[in-house]
Order: sequence, then C-alpha cells, then structure tokens
Amino acid sequence: MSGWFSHFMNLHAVYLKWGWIQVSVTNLIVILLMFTIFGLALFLPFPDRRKGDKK
Amino acid sequence: MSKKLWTAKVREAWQRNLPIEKLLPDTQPAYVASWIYVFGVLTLAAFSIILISGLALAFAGPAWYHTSSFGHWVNSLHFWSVQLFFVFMVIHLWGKFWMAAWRGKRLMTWITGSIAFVASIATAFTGYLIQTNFDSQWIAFEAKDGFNSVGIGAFFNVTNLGQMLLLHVAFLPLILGAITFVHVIMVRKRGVVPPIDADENNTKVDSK
Repeated sequence: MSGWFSHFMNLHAVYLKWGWIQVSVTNLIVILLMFTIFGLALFLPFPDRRKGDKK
Repeated sequence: MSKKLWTAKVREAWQRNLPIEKLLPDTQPAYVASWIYVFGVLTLAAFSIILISGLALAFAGPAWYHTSSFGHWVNSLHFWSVQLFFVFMVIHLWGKFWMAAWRGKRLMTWITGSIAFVASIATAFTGYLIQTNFDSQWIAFEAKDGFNSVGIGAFFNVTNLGQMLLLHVAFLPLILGAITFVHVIMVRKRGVVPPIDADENNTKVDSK
C-alpha cells in the first residue's frame, strides 16, 4: 500500500459516543450501508425474465 | 405380509416429506421475483467461497499465507468473504424477520436459521482469534474478560491458540455446515415464505 490509501488505513479509529452508545465511524458506515442495501432490495424492481418471450 | 426393511421405511418417509420435485423445483412462486429473496443464496455463495479459501489456507499453512503474495490474497479473500457473508446473512435475517418467516409451519426453518447465525458468530470469532497478530491478541484478552465476567471462562480458553485454531478449522465449520444443510432442506420442504399480504398459492412463474 502506498500514498493516501496507506495513510488512510493507518489512521486511528474515530469513535462516536451518545451516552452509553458508542460506535466507530467505520462500523457506522457499514451499518448504514447495510440499511441502504436492505432498502434498495425492497424497492428496486426485479428484472422480469419473461419480458422477451411476450408475443 | 412381510415386514418392511428400515431402508424402505426411510425411503417412503423421504418421498412423503421431501419429494424430488420439492427438492429440485423448476418453478417458484411469483412473489420470489424480488431482490429481498436473493440474500439467502448470496449468503450460501459467500459461505462456499469461505470454505474453499479456508481449505486452501488449511492445506498450505501459515508459512505460505503469511509470506507469499498469493497466500496474502487467499487469506484476504477468506476474510472479506466473511464480511460479505455477515452482511448478506443479516439482510436475509431482517427480510425474514419483517415478513414473519416462521408462518406456515416454518418454525424449524426459522430456528435452524437462528442457530446458524449464532454458530457463524462463534466460527468468525475463533477466526479472529487465530490471526496471530495484535488484533487477535487484543480480541482474545478482551473476550477472556468478558467470558470470565459472565462465569463461562472456565469452559474454554480463548487465549489458547491451538484450541481456537482446531475449533475454527475442524469443529465449528462442520457444525455450521450441518445446520445450514438442515436449514436449506427445511426451506425446500416448506417452500419459500410468501410476503405477509401474498397468497401462499400464488401464480407460479416458470423459470425456463
């Protein structure tokens, strides 16, 4: 690894804290990403394989 | 009338409970055509990559995967497949929880899925413990404190590298694989759960 990526990967973890809740920014990003994928899976239309067969 | 052999009894029970048409179907209900239904099989795909890369790591050993470029790559493939495995499994869990997937005699499907989830955590945890780096040392001693504080620290020693290595490569994957197998068989036996407002006997979609 070199350059900005190496610098970025070697930074200390940043933690967010609200009372007893503590989460690292990294984990928060992963959790938000999972929520996003879940939402997209519910609302994105599924490709219809039969479309090409319609007469 | 002659008494039936146990083989015949097993065969008949199998055919009654899980006919081959259910085990290897070529049609699925229309409601399955949704992205939320792909996360179970994505989890299985990630699990397959984990098993294959894990076998490579086990056979070639740390002298290979800690030193050579290709070894590092396979080690990373193993690690990142686990990250994807958990992402897919948790989204699969959310989807099934919110559609109350235990409906329609699917309780055993739900329970085996839950056990597989817990077994996955145990397998991943022992995997983290055998990285033989500062991360694994930190995780082991934090976990040791945690297990001691709830009174189960005497049953197994998470700082014992050999014990954790064997649990990770020999015991836990077998348990997880067996539970996953039963889970998939239950999915085939009971069918894929319909959304809450959908008809169980929804129009079939031909997969051909």
